Amino acid sequence: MNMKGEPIVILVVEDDPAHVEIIRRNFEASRLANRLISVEDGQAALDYLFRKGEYNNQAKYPMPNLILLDLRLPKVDGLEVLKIIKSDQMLTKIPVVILTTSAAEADMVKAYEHHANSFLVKPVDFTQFSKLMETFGYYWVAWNQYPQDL
Amino acid sequence: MEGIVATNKKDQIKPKRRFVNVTLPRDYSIGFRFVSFLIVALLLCGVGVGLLVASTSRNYLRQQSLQNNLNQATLAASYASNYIAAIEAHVKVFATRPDIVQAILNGTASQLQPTLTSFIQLQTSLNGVGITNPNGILLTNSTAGSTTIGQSYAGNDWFQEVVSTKQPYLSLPKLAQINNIPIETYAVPILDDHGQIIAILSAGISLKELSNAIVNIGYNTTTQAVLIDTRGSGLIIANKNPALLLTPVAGDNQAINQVLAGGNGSLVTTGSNGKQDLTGFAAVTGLPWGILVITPSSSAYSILNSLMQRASIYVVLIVLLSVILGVLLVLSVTRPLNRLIADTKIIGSGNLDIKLETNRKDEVGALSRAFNDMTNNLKTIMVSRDELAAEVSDRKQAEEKLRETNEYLENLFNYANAPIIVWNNQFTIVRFNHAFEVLTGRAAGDVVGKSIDILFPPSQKETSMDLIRATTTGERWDTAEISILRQDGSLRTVLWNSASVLASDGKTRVATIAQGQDITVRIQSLKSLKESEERYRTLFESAIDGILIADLATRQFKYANPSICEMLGYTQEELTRMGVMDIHPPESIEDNLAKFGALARGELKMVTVPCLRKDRTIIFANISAVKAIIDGKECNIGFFDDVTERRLVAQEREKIAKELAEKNTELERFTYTVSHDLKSPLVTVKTFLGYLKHDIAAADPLLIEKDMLFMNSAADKMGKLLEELLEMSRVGRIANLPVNVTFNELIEDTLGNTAGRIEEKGVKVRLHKEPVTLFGDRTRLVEIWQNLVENAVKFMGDQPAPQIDIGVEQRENGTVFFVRDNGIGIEPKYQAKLFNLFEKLNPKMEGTGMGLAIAKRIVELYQGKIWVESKGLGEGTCFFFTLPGALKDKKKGV
Repeated sequence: MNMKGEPIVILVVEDDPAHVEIIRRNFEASRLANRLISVEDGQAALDYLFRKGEYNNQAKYPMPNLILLDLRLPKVDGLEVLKIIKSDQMLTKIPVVILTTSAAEADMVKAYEHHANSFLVKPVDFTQFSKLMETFGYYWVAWNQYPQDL
Repeated sequence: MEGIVATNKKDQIKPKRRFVNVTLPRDYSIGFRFVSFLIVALLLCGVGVGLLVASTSRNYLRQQSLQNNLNQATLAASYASNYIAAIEAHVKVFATRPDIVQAILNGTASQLQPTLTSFIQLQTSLNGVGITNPNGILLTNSTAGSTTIGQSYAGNDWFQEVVSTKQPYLSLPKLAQINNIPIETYAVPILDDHGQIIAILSAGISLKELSNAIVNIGYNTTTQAVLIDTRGSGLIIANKNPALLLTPVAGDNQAINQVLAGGNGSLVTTGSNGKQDLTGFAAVTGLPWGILVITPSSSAYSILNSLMQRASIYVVLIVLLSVILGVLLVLSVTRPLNRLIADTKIIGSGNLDIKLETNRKDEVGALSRAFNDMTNNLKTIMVSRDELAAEVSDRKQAEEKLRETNEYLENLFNYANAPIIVWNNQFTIVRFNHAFEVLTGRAAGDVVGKSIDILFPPSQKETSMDLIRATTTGERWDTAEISILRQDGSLRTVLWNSASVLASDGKTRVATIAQGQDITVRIQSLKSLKESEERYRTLFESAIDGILIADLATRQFKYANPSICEMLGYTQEELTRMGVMDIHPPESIEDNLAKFGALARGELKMVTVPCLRKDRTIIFANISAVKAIIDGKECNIGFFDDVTERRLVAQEREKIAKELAEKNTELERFTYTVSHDLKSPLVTVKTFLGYLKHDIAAADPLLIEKDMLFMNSAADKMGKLLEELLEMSRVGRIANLPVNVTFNELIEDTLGNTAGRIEEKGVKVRLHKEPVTLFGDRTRLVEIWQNLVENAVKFMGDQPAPQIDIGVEQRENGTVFFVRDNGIGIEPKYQAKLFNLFEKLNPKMEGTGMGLAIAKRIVELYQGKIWVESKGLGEGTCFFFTLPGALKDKKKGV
């Protein structure tokens, strides 16, 4: 929920169900009221954003305020998804936060080149991961401002 | 105009032709009398000779004909004698045959008919044979069923003769009833052992065959041969005319008498028709026969008669021809004489312009020429008087003209641009013009009167003087090169031509005039041109670059240097016969010409194009070009630098770089995936360990189980990943020794390894067996098919009748293996990513996404390619791959 009390819709693009679970649990723990929707590959993410197929349902699949994007994804790679989002006139207004396992410099550079809004690496430690998600929640959900007319 | 030459005076009246008004004189008949005498003499001579020849020929012909007829008669007589003797001998022998004699003695002679018949069948000249008893009664004959058996022949001459003499007898002739041909019966007694007649054998001899042979004797159709039986007064038994057969010989001339008397010879006889015959005659030995061969004398002389007729015609023709020739002879003599008479009459009347015809070679011609000379002399005297006056005034004019010409020539000489010099026979300089003063730097006054050798440099004095002296013999120089020494000591090279100056008699040479042309500068420039050409030639010949000079208009080569010859493999001669179009591969010629165009316009400094060598191999050359005018034609000079090897090296380098880049990418992906995919389960384990701690503290059994499940799954995933990474790293190294293995064996192994999963899903596998043998690491090769089959089973989806086809296709560029399924298929946009390491299209599927990457790696180890074809989701998938390395090396196997 943002400052105005509206829920923030977050689209999580993540192929590992374990990681989706971790993110979900963290958001629940932080008690920030928001809505978490997950898709498991790059193609599904694009279909969601462009409202293709089953995702052509505004009530069930609302346009997200924020996208949490893993880089290594089946079918369509995370960077490719980022590129498409950032080259679309409307979607480019949605902040994209990269959340990936890899700390490779090359990946980070490429992500920023394609206008990623933030780049986070999943920590290999429970406390660290929890802290990251907590901070993330405060920053991106509580404080960050989003355009209205999406 | 025959016989007349018109004079040059136009008002001359042409004389009339003289045939018109000239008549022949009467005494022309002298010629004709001479001719007539000649003809009469000729005729008398011809007739005399003709008569003599005729008489001699007649005698000769008669003698020939008589001798000929005698020869024929003798020959025919000999033939007849032999002919009858042969038949008689056969009959005699037959009469003594024991079976005949025995049959007669036994009284069974009537049974001899078949014997007699077969006898006459052998003797074609016998009409028939018969046997009579001593009383003349016919016992049997050669005719079966004859009606004459039992008749008596006792009255016949042959019977009576044989009985009385006991000797064979030839009867008088008579005509056969059957064919009206004379026959004579030959009768022979048949005797017993005591010499008593027991029967008589009679044989009818037909004279037909003999008669035919004799009557056809004769050297011409009018000759007749006659066979006569000389008994009695003689009977004709062979003659051309059948009506005369068995008639007595007509007439009683000497020849017949002699024949009847048995003599031989020839005679001129008079026939029954009163005409002369030439007759030869001969007796037939051993027989009462004689032969006459008669030729009517008219036929014997017929050749002579026709000869005489033709001779008469020739005589008449010769006489006629003589008359015509005689007349022509007379006319040929009298005609020109008559013309001459007519022409002299005209001259006599005062017309001197008449010319007589003088081209005859005879006396008349000579007479005409004498007349012409006379008229000419007369004319000359008349003309010379008129011309004298005209000549005097002409000469005055000529003198004036000569003076003007002299002045003109003097000016020309003095002010001509070319140096001109005249020297006399002593080689002293006589004249020296202004241009020569300029050339030598000497004044005319200083040199005139001096020897010419002062003009030459000392070193060349002798050779120059040799040339000068040569002109005294009348030699002319067209171009003699003689150097001139200037007053200031410098040398000038001068080209000379000369001519003799002749005295007024037009023969005596009084001086020589020579004109020079200073070519010093030209020679110097030629020399420097030669040097520069030499310089460029050396450059051209020794250049490392190939150089070709081509005519811009025709694109034909004019020059080629050794380097280009070596580069293209042609000789210089070959190249100069070729053109631009011949040294580039046909498929690239258009492209090359476009590049040359850019070169010519200066858009490019250099182009790289393929060139075709003589041995049809292709090299690449960097070509630059400049334009130049060579031999008056606009040409392109092309410089060729062979860069084939450099290109190859560059290409090789590019290829290696590309391969390296590919490896790098693969390595990057590898490290990336390892860092991501291996770390990911680690994150899961660590995080859920944290949750587990909380959940245990909260004693929430549901959550505890969930946490453990996540951790377990992550650990499994990690184990599997590590395992496959190890596998992957092994692929690069071939662990097992390569062996020969057939396609079918590989598939058997594959199906054995995957049997469990295939069965579990109920997949039907169809194997298309092919006799293909591979050579390689059997375990690795099996892994390719195994990964593909596992992949196919995995992505079968909810296909109700799952099926996999495994087989081989022979394509144009090699053997292609395939594994096809009717499973879920792959969307075209994902097909490229399929073989990437850890690539998974479906995160929910088990596996790590390494199967296809491993298959690809093994295929690449055998220099092969792997690709996928699928029309999309639900359309099934087909993996294709090639293994050239395994197929190529199979022969090395044991």
